[in-house]
Amino acid sequence: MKKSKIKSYLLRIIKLICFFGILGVLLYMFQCMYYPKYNTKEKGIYDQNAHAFYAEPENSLDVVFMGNSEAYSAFSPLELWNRQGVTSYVVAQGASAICEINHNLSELLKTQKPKLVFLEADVILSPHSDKMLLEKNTESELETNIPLVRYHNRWKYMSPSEWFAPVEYTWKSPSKGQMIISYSQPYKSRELELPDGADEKYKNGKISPVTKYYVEKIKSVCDSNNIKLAIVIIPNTLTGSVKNYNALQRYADSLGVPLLNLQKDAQKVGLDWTRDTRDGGVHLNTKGAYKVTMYIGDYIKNNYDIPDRRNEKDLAQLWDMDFISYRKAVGAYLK
Amino acid sequence: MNFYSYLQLLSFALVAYVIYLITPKKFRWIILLTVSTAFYLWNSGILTVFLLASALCTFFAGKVLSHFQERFNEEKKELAKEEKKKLKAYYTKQKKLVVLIAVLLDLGMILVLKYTGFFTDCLGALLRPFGFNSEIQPLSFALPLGISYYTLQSIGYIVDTYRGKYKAETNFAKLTLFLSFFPQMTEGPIGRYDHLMPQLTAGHGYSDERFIKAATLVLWGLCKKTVISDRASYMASTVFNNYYNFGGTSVLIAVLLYTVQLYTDFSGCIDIMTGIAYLFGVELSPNFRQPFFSKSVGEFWRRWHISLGTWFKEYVFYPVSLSKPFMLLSKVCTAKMNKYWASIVPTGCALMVVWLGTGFWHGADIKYVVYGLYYFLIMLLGMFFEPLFAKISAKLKIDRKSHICTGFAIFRTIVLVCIGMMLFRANTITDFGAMLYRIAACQDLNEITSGYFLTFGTDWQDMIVINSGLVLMLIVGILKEKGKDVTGIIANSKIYIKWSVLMGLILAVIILGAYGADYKSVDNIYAQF
Amino acid sequence: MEKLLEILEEVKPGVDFEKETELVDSGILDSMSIIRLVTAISDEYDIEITPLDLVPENFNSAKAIYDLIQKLSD
Repeated sequence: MKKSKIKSYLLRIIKLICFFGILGVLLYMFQCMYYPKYNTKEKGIYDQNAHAFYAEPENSLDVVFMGNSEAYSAFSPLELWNRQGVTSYVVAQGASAICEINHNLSELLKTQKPKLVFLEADVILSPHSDKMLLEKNTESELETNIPLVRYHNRWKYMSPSEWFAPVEYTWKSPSKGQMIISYSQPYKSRELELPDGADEKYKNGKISPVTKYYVEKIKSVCDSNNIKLAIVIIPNTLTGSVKNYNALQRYADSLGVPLLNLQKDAQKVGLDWTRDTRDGGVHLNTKGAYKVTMYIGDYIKNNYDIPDRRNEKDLAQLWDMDFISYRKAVGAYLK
Repeated sequence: MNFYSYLQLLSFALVAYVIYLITPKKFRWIILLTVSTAFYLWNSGILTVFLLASALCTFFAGKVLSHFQERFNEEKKELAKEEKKKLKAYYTKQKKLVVLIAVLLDLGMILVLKYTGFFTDCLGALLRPFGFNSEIQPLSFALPLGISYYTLQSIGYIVDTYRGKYKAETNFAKLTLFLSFFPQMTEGPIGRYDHLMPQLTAGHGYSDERFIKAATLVLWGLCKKTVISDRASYMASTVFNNYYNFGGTSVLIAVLLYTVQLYTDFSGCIDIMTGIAYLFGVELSPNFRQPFFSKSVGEFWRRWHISLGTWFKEYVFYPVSLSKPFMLLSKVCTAKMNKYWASIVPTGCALMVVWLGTGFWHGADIKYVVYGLYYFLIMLLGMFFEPLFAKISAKLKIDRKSHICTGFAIFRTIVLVCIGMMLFRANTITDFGAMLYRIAACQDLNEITSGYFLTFGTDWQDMIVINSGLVLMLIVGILKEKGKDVTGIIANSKIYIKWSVLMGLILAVIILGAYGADYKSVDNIYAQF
Repeated sequence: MEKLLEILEEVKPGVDFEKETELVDSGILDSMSIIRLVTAISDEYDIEITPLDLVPENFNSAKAIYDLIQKLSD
């Protein structure tokens, strides 16, 4: 009696394994077919701007700026290079779930060995409810771990030649991940006025446990790779409030992570919100990014041991050329 | 619910299933209750209090009614016929009072939560000619999940216990399970106590066949929703929201796509929920039976949203038509009119009550009431002209059961239903009228031949997917119409057939599903009721 | 019984009520026909029919309907 029962259970388990095995192979095959083979939006990659680092020479990036649209509007890697020879990159995508940042960091570490990561605070201070954050990040986990879920719709746009072509991410961002926006839409005054933040809209200064989970994940990835982590607050009218920034300070202290509060240090940075924002206080423009980068440059010089790589001939040549093109594009605006 | 919410629901259901299986048979219904409560709390939070109130009201009403019934049975034993009649009348009066209070409480909750805005609008409209210009903001409340469904389900239970169809449930937790069983909370079907309760407490275990049937049904429903319905929704929304920018042909296609969207959305969701319930050995009552094979609008409503139609038949149409006022009306008609009219008028009146109710149930908007009346009028005219048609076809020697006649009848029904759907979806009644006019008078074939109509959110590749899906649904529908148990056949077929079907459906959902960054999420239409 | 068959013929002409045994299940008598039938019957036989009696078993054949009438006449 017992033997046949065991046999039938065993058979059932084998059937289950076979079923999921075959399904897994099929899904993997489709995933290979649909996976974008080139890292531009045209060729199907999800968020081109956060996937622009692949073509950079290996181990050439020492500092990384990560976050959402605040991050790609507020940092100028090429200006930092020009000032002190520090190689940096912006890996950021708009309205991103914090899970994506964690994923992008892991991707970056496959070819790079940065020494310092700056995490912009807006992704931590997201105004969504806990339930919404859980859903968004779960979706993100699914999509980043099973790329087929993210790219399944490409059947509409691919040609058969793309199906089994090799993956070659050779597109480079000419501005090292910074989004260049050179016009201004002024805020009402030179200084940014932040509300106290004691209402629902600003979540009353509470940081969601979902977000904390991912921040701590990012921290542990940094720790195990000997990377220093720092959090930067680029103030903005959407998520900025006194309570939020205080809560973030407390949280950063509890994690032992340094926090740069550019609202507190706005005068030192020299931010003028009538000229440095592109949308009335939500994001900085190229001018604002320049000022922030200069400030961060000093901060790096005084607190970290990041090498000046202008003596590395081949690397310096590439970066200098990129800087010249960059200045050609925005030079007049920065004056 | 969008695609990811369905994944959430399925993971939840699977975890619940595992817990259910490791629980001893006797206590499995408690697991179902716990899981349903967790599901409801996650969805509705504090609003759960209304479901609880309804459950309490229903439970006590049932108990009191059964109690009266028992007392009557005890007391009548000693009595003579005349006395028995008096006692019966007394108890009937008491029971009617209980039903009235309980139903008013139940209905009261849904009327306030769902229809207050509508009532204040109506009141405002009535008073405006008299100079009252109310600046009252329309009140609208968040609705507890499935209130339109569980309210009808509880009223059905109350009325059934009044009629003595079965004895009332003595266990409050079990009654709560009946009202809150999680697969039926989003879009029904509206269940009956005597059908549902024994299954909920039976504690069925695992069986290969049942698992595969359930999985196939869930995946099939998921396909219908994410592959077909969500795809069709984009063009439909674009055109319905801006019909004045499109020619009649595009509007017509949008109406057809909306009909497809609504059917696949609703029946897809029902399939998923039925599949999940089936995992636990519970067969929910069917809600769809190939509705587009109907030869008349009346038949359509016996094949579409079956549980709603049945509920209205049992608890509105029959009681109303057999009530004293209506019987009186029919006596008056018999006396004053010829026999034919005498049978149509009272039935017609009762039918109007049903359709006003059905329309109103769908939404707190005059548009839905008109929707109900639309179908009422069609059925009334059908009833009215039936003898004439019978005479004509007899004279012309037309066989009404021939393929041509049947085909014509089905086509006519589809046209009438599509017009109904257009009314259902149109933003206002005037929009509906304008769209109808556009279809009739402003045809612009150019929008079709130039491919312009494929730029409104549903492109040519989407159309191919939708149409292939519809063909597959047609085949399945024909098989089911012939009485074949399709999921049963698959579950009992050879292993490579079973696996191909399951894998095919899974791949279709993942690859062809209209979810992800390229698609905005599309909510279930019937979950808003 | 004769009278009943007459009434049935009026409500739904063209059906062989003596032979049919699935009037409700096969859809020959829908809910509206049933109500019309019931109003005529309750009038003719002076009985009170309640919704509880409106089950398929009671209306699937002419004999079943006749039995129902007998039961309610007591």
